[in-house]
Amino acid sequence: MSITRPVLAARPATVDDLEEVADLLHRIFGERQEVARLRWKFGGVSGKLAGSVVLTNRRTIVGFMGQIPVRVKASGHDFLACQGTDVGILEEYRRLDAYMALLHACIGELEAAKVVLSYGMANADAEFTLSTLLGQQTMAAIPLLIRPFSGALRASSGRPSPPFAPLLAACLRGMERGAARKQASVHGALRVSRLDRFDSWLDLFWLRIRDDYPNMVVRDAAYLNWRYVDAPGNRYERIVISNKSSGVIEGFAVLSITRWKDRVRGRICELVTPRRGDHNAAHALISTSLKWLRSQNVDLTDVWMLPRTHLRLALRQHGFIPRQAGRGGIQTSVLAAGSALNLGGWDRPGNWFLSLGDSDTV
Amino acid sequence: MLMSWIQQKPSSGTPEATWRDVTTAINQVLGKPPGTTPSPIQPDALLGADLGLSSLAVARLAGLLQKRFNGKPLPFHTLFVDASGSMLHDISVSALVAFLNRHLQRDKP
Repeated sequence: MSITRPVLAARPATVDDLEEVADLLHRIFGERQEVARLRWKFGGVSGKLAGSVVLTNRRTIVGFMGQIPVRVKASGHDFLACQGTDVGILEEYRRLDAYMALLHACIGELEAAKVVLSYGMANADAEFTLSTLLGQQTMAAIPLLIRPFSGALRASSGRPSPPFAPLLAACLRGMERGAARKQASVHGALRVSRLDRFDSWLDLFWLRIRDDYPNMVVRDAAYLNWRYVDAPGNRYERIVISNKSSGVIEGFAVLSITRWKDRVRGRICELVTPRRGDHNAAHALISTSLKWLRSQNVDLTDVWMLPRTHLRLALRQHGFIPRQAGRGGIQTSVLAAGSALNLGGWDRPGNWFLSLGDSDTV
Repeated sequence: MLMSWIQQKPSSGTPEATWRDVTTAINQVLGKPPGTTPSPIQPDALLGADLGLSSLAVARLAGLLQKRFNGKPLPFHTLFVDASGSMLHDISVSALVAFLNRHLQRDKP
């Protein structure tokens, strides 16, 4: 008996591949993503695929490695970067040579597109594999903060509510009353409003905050509209806070909710205020965000937040607590090889301001 | 069983002994514990294409071998780059053994 090995080859993905890729990802992960959504995701703001590759057995697609093109500001300049996501190979082809072929093609494509940085939210296995096979260094984990609501404390699925629930609920109510008092005084100068689309005011705001962290995803209006307004299938709540008299934006937040079993989970996808500005804006944004999340009957909300920042401090004051269990919230940063770009202190998570929320689930 | 193999004193550092350690570790990641009849492994067998190891299994193999050799960090990623700097898609068992011998010899006092 002779065994013929499948002939596997990797090549750049095209828009025409995305229908087959949608089927493939459905087979691997059990969840269907619409083709329009894949086109939106892997096209980025420019609508052009960069770095996404497919693995084929003859002409059939059996593996995929996706890259979401974004722009990152580092060393004072804007560069093309990619966020890796949706990596999967059909089980029968899941071998070292297949994975390496996919990775090799991907790195070649990233270099051809002049992508200087590739990063992603890797699970522990992916992080372990990348560091072993490629020697990639990873950043320390960015802590995940969670904030339970009273709904999370109720009895669920026949289980009684935990014994500490009344005490925790009382603490959370006390924090909310304090925050509401603080917010009332803040509201004299600031206006909080919902936003349909991000406009040129946000471009001005981006120019103001672009040097707050050494390395940041470029959060201009084009990016924010692509990411949180035009995303097919996702609904986001967008809140902006501005100065009442001048109209100048002081910060914004983007929120989403997901349903899982009988729970509703909220997520703060973006929470941005100037690092060296009026921190009341952060408090007002968080209070407004919590109010909206509560109105959606959210049980729990979460946000990835860098350590030692004014935003983290403000979140803690509003009842957010570090997640204690598991390895959630890992953010791995993988640098593309051969770049002369100076990403000073790239291994310190405090120097990054990438996505704060659902970047792993887009 | 797995832990007891890892905790045993590493073999004497000869190519034959390293071969035994590597094939034992490969059988471990393939789900064949020490003491069972090992699958015959040819030196030129490729880890992925011939033995069917996934990328994660190879990373686990690297972890096992690292523990086996006193937990000393070994630059496994250099195995996947050839002399011209190109990335290799697969490596043979003999290449892995040669890599280990090279690094274990280098670190001998």
